[in-house]
Amino acid sequence: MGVLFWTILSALILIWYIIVTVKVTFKGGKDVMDMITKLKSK
Amino acid sequence: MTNFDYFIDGGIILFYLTVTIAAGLYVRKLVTGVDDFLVAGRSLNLYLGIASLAATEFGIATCMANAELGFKYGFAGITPGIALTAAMFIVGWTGFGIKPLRDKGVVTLPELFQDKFGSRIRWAAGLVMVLGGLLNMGVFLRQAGNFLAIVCGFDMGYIEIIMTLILLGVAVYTILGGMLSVLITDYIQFVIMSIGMIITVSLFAIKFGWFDMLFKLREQLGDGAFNPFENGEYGLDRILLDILVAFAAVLTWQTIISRVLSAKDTKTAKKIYIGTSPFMVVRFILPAILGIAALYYFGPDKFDDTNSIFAMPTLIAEVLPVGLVGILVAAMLAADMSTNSSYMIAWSSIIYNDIMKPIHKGLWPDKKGLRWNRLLIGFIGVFLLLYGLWYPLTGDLWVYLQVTGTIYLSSISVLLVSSCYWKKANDWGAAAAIFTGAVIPISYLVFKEVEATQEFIYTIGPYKIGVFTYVSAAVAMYVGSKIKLIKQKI
Repeated sequence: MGVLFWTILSALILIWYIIVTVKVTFKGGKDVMDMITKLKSK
Repeated sequence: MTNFDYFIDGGIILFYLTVTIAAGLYVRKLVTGVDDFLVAGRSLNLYLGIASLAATEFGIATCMANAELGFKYGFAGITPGIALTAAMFIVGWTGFGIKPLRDKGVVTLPELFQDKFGSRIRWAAGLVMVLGGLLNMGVFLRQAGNFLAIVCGFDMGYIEIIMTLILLGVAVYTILGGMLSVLITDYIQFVIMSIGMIITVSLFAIKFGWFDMLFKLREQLGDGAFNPFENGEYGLDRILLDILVAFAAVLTWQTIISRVLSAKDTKTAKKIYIGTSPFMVVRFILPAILGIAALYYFGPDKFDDTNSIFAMPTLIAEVLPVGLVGILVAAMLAADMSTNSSYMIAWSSIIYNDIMKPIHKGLWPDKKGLRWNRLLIGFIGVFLLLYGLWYPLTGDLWVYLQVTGTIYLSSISVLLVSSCYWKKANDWGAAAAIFTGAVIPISYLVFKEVEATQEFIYTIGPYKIGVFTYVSAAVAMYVGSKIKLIKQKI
């Protein structure tokens, strides 16, 4: 039971982490550029 | 024995370091005042906020501490991560504590307390936060040095030089670019760290066989490895402390809160919390899996209580192939640099904004304020180096982090909740909570080193003391506030 539970949970967490890493890589990069632009225009 | 190759792995690390430090230095020109330096002009957006918060809360010390928990307690060791995820999600979803904090537009937590409790409490809160924060951070450098020495195969005699080099690399861009450099480098570090961790954990799961690892874990640690309630070493007092620390940390830990304060508005701050909350369990479960892999590879006898923290780095050094070692070391350096830079700026911001306030009264020109903030970061760096060299860590690293964090988490979380939601809270209660919350864990740290009291302290254990501290701080706030109210009526 414990083995199955932690297998499913670990797999879900790893999949979530991969998705978030991809999303944050692209959208976070845009945020970086926006922040620099905003501070440059001050 | 290590598979680290100076040419291939060293090249990967050198490339990573060059890119990060260059990016950190590039944005330094955009810092024009103290507000830019401490809260990046309050221009933090959602995804950069998630990357920054995740990268900050995952350092080499955290990774080693959580791998040690996995090595010793199996999956039961990730209980603090589950508690942190739940706490961050609930706080982000409800806005409890963080909404009034961000709405006030303050730079640090103690600044919020000024209105409710007065300037003396602001000063005392700042002092206790810096004390707890610096003692907590004091062990980071040594753990990073240990990790790098083992994985890269350096002689342990060079550990001080490694620690100094890591610190210098971080200090240069943090001193010059402040929070802005921290955020930009955090982004790069999040990407590198995530790629390195995902590849490494997946590789071990495939190489050793996921189910083989888990069945051997049950054979060696029993069912308690999968359920903290069945784990003799992981009792109810420890679980309760994990929950209390989790809520207090997401409400008041300055490096976490600084993202709330840097967010462009309250809505974004809440979304950053909700978005980052699952990462709190990631930062426990991935290192714990590495610890479980180390237990599978070495068995339970090679490492004992005194050196179990070295199991995970030794596994990486011996098993990961050339090239991948370099990626993982770069990932860990990324994790560590983002943590160190954020922690340095978090504590320096409190020293400048709250402890030094009686001196500068907020009247110093921006240039002078910037110079002082940069100097403070330099002083913190020197302290970290000296403390890291001097302090002999005994017991679980995670427990040390919890106990030192409790020095201020217990009282400041009570102060935050009281200042936002309890009209009758006053400075007497706040002073009593700060004093109680600091004295108990500091006494624990001192008495566990004194021979005459050592046995007694170990009998009680850090978990009961931790829980007692949180309860005492809350009671002290209530009693202190009531006494002042009664005295005023008389």
